[in-house]
Amino acid sequence: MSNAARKQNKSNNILTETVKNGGASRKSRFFHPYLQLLISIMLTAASQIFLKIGVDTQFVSPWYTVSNFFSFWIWLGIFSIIGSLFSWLYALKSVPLIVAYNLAAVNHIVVALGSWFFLGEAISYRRWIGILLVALGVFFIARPAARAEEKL
Amino acid sequence: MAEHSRSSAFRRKLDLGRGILAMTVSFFTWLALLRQFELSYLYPFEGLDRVLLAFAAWLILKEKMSRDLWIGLILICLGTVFVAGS
Repeated sequence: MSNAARKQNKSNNILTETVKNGGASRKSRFFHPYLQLLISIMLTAASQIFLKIGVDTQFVSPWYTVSNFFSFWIWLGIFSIIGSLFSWLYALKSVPLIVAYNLAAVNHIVVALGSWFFLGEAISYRRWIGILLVALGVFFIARPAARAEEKL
Repeated sequence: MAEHSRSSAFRRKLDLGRGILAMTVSFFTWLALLRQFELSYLYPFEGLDRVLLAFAAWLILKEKMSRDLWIGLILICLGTVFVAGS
């Protein structure tokens, strides 16, 4: 096998590669698509929480858009969003779209749990029902959305 | 041929620019909203972007709405109403 072909093979199916060597190498385990998907979801939720903290702790200014850029938390949030986007795109190379979109519904629940745990927000029963309904709706939409995307 | 490819590349860049502009505007709007509302209250409303997207695809791109899509859209709207009332 030529060097270029081997490279191609490696980038194309990491999943089988990982299975083949039993997840022996640490690097291939980190780049496992499902782990990257999980990282992406966690980073998305974390970015929302960082942004909320940043918006709450910054000094109040009428030029709030400008003063946003002096907040450490806001920048942490922005970098989390960028990181989540990269790991999302990376995961989509080998995970079926339908699975990825189904997992995106988990986002709503993770954000709700995070804002309850880290931000101390009191979530009423009514709000929990609403959040779960939205997550369920996103779950239902995953199938048509994936089909539409595959057509593109 | 060269002319054509250059213009399509330019158009793609323009689309990318518009997309980035829209994302920037939505980011700052989101920050302004986040200042006033709790995160657990605000985040479910983000599910509405799928509803808008589905209706835009239905009206503008004339795509068919499947049964699952309708169920999902109704569930999202219902959930948002619940959150809004909490």
